[in-house]
Amino acid sequence: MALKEIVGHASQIKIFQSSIQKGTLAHAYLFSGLEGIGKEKCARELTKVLNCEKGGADSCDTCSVCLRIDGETFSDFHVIVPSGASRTIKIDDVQKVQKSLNLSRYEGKAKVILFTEADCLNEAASNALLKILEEPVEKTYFFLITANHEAVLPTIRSRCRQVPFYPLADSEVEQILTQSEVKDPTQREFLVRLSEGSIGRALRFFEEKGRQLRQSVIKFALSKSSSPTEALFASEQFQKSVEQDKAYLWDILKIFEGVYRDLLMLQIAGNEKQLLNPDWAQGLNQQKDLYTVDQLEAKVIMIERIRTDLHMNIQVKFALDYLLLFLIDKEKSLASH
Amino acid sequence: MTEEKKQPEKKSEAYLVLARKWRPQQFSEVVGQEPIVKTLQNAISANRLAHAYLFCGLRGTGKTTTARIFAKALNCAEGPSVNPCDKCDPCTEITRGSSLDVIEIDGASNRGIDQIRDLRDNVKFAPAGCRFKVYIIDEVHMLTTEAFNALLKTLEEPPAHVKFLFATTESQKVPATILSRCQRFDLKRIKTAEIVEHLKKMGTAEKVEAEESALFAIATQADGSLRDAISLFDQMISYCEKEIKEEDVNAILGLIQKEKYFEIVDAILDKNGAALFEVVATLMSSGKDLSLFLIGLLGHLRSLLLAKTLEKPQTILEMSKEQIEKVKVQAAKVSEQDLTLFIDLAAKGIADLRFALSKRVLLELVLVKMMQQQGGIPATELLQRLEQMEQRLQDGDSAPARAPKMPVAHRTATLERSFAKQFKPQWQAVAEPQDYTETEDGWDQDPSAVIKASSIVVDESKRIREEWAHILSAMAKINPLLCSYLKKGEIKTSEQGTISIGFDEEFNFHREAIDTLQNRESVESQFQQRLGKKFKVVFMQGETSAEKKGPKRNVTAEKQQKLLNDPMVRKASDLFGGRVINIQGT
Repeated sequence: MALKEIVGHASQIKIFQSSIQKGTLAHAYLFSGLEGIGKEKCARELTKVLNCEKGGADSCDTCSVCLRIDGETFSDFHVIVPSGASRTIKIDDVQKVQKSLNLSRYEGKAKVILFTEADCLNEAASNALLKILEEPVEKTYFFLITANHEAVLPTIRSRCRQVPFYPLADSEVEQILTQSEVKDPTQREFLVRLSEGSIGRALRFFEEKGRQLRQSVIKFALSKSSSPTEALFASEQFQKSVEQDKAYLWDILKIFEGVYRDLLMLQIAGNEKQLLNPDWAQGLNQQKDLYTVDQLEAKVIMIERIRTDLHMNIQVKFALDYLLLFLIDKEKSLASH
Repeated sequence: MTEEKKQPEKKSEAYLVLARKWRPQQFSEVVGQEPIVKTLQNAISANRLAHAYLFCGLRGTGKTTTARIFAKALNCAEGPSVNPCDKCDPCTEITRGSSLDVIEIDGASNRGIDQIRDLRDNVKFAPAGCRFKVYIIDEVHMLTTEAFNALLKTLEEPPAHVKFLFATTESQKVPATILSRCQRFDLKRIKTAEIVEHLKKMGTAEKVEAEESALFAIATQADGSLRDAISLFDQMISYCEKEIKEEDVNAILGLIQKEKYFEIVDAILDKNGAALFEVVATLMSSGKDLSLFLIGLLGHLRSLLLAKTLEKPQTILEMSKEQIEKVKVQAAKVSEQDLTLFIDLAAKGIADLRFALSKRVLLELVLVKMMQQQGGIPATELLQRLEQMEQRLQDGDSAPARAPKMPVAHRTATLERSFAKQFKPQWQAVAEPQDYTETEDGWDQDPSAVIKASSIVVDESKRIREEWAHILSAMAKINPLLCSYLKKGEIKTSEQGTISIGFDEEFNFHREAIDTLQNRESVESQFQQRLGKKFKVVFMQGETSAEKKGPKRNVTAEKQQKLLNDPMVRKASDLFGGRVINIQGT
């Protein structure tokens, strides 16, 4: 894949290509935007362009340099990822970068340092990075990537050229889905809705596992009367999926949120044009009066609260048990909360 | 600082990002910091130089730059000069960053005590070529506490040839002991107009055309930081071929058309749920960042509020005339109170949206809330109602029917306070049972209560009790040990010339220790002296604590019951949904 093959982000790519041609590429970039829309992809492609044996405004994608960058075996391309239980980038990591900057390049035309999750830089590490970012060594490029722009130190932000990436437009998601062999147009349609502009998200629901998980979550959310036992049983099922892939945890919460939002919308908008789960329109319509607007709001707020708690490392089991027990309770609304 | 960046292509040209290329080298080039520049210049010309300066302020306002220029001004071969010549050796060296005597330290990477010790060791050596040895410590807030403390002495009285210049964005993290040793300069955020002016100048020099509105958009986005503005400007130069247009800036910044804000507010005001979801859907499908939309909506609501409250909103609102007219039209449709409600919800929503699972769902929720909660009862009216209720309560009027139904959250502190004030003299409800009878000196403290409780009011025994305290203090002088043991006991009965002093079960040890003929006689003689009558004194084992509680409670039980049945008390407990746990001071 080369820059030209990236779907969407046309204006961002235009900036890079014209900067490269004019020779005005900055030494540090901060890419921000939703996860799963292609920021990291873009940075990797740029690394290839900067180093490609053929030169030019786009990479050839066939030379050994391009291939090695794809395989992360290129010695002048450093990828810094968060580590440890706290998932942070520590000052040691930055100091290693600092040291490597003092060495000359091994083989490439440009040294590239890629921080895939710049918001994970801890405070000491961020500050240690400041001076390097402001006046770096020549032919060294920093690409900082974040889905959480606000969590990056303002002083770092201001030292980088900030390139915001926006969610993909529906047509772009659809285009990628078509390329990814999603043949069924109705399926494409609801995947586009689910994606919220993030192709990574859409593709997870295309896989068999994701699809099944979604079915069972929606079924649970729409069931008229679940007993606490049923809720705990369902919770156990969901936990099993989460054990296989942590990303499913956020998917489960998101699907729940989506269902309650759909019920809310059916009540408020009075039509089903903008459903997030159009394939479930019938079931949703049948259950649209299951909860009051207040109760639906309470449920969405509770899901968000559980999300916060999970980020603070509360146990997944307890979180899901608690959430599901809360969700089956018809009486709970904002007032009682 | 002259770095060459060879491009993969054939041409090789030096490229330095504009923010660095345009880093001011003279005081006169520093943008928007006149008071600080002037102070520094005057300090040089009047030869009143401090040995430590601290520059703090927002990112990209010129802290490091000012520090460097100041270092140059101090060391310029032309003598400490208000305008460094930029030609002499010291000046060029400092500009290049290769001067031996201007040492720029990255405080964030060299934050430990060891680095500061090295610095301290080197401070005493005279400068190699310049007049002053200048230490510029950037990001000084990241030094560790130990490092700061190691610096204190040096910072207070450094050698005459040393100057310290600190720069930081977070002055609150610098210890007070350091702050008090420095002259502090707070760099201001740079005004939008000043940024625009500067960008224009740069545009001319760089031969780039730019629409003024585009520059305004850039400057607004930079939010007071010149470096942010220049970075963005730089980026726009790469993006646009010849001229920078506003729409290009909007495309890069992901700004949303103003129409969308009008549409969404209309949908909310018309309670048109379908339209509301429709607008969000169009935003989604065109790939807009919903957080940005909500922030923009907040700005739009502010404009509406300004248009509603100000007579001449155009003085504050930075937009074209027709836009102001449009804002005015929409502002006329919405009440001020609803606007503040919307602003509250939007502001809270921005925080929630930041980490939300699904920005879309949360945004929709915020908008639905706006739609539903508009036209509520104003807070002032609620307060008024509360006050009325309070008044009624104070007047002793029978409680209004809906008061008890009031949710807990609506109870106001004032209400509770006025209640407490009113009833305190008669009784006091306490949250936790306070078992005063169990404290060993409960009886001593309040002998009158005991007498009342036992309702044996005989003159003589009363006198004996009164004298007991005096006797004890007299005994303290004669036989302190006996006295301290006696204090554990208390007068029980005094009949037929016998005074019995009772000891609780737990003080059996004390009783046995003093129960000798000699001790008894010495107490007896004291009573004789005081009362002029001979008594026989016996030390006896008294009741246990539990026994003691019983009768005392029973005596007051009647009174308590009466209080509990008091209409005022019952009203209070109904109103607050509580119950009386304990009664004191009967």
